[in-house]
Amino acid sequence: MATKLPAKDVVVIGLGWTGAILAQELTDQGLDVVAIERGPWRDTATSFNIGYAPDELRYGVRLDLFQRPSQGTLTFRNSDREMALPIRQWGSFQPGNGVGGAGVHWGGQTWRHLPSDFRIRSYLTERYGASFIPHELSIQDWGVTYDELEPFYDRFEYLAGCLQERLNVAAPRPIHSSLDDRSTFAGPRRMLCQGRSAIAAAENEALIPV
Amino acid sequence: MVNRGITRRRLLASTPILAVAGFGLPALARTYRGGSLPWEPNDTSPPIPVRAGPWLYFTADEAAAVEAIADRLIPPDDSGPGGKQAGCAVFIDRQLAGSFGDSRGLYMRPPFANGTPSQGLQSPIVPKERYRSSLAALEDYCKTTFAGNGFVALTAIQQDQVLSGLENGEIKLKDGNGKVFFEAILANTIEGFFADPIYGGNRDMAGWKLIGFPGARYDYRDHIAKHNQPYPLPPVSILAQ
Repeated sequence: MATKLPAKDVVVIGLGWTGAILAQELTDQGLDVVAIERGPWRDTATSFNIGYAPDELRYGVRLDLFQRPSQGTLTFRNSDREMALPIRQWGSFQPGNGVGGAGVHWGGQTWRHLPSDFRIRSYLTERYGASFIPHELSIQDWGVTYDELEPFYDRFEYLAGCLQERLNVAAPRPIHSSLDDRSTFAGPRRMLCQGRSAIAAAENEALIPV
Repeated sequence: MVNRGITRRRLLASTPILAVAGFGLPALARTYRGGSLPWEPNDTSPPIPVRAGPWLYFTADEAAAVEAIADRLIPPDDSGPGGKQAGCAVFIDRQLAGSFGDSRGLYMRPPFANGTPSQGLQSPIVPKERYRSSLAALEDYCKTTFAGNGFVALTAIQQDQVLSGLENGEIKLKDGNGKVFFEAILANTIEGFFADPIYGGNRDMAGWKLIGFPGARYDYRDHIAKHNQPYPLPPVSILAQ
């Protein structure tokens, strides 16, 4: 028999990084939110108890925190001449499970895409000509620019405690949106979460190439 | 995965030292609106320590062979005990008797087909079956090849010849794939030598002492800035042995 649960304003399916941020934003707006997650509830003090969190066999080798392939897996092959077979045991690809999702093993690095990534088809065409892109390659511009997204990068990095000042600080210079920028690995930051004095100090110490 | 059969009381009873050190302190209080959550406060899923005692999966003969193999893979010498004394066979026995032995949690439904190396595990044979059939086939091979002597009765040189033959695929066991078995027992012996002692191997933290690994320590903040200085504290197990 179906159980009818109380009505909610919003149902968030999957409570990892993305779902958790969405749920927070929505509840901050006063909405009544329920989140649905496959797998166990996770709580720092219990699921990541310092007494046994360093257990490498359990977590690093037997992959205790991840989705069980028996719950659901996918098939793959490296070329269309091979037969696709199920992934029976995770290798390089380890999907998350439970509250927190794959965030339980994120590496703490959030690299910004390059400005050119957001207009990749236009960018490649400008740089190498239209014939550079094979017919079957369906890459497209994103429809949102780096400049539009940049404040949200900044906000997320602040939330997640990430700081990329060693990589690329845009401020106080005007923002650039091409590879001519001094950026090599990540898009430039318009504003550092820690404020411009921190940027100036870092530049004075030559931590940042000027 | 979350073992709800373990109560906080039982956990604390089994980990007296860590309990004093603040093991299992509750998280900061927080409020959830709209009813209860599907977990209980202070619910944990601690590791279940291996208990000493008889073999749980191996027969006595199988255990003797595994101990002999572990002692050739990691021989005892001046730097410390070998695989046998470090409890690698006990570790493997307990692993095979548990969820690892059944490949529980892995995707083990048919159909099975031979894949490419990059497609990884594709065998329907779970580890406990692999050990049973391969150890029997190994014993058979040794007795046929070495005038009735099983693996345990061979000299160290002969044992190394057999293991090398399995490793490089020159020795084909009756049950199929000696190379797969070698790779399995090598991996599990290494796990047993270096995993936390709660799992039955790494006895007296022999593996960690050998390589200078500090074990299940959590906080290195006092030592991060001390460059080129050895870490001064001895290794510690999850059970703070």
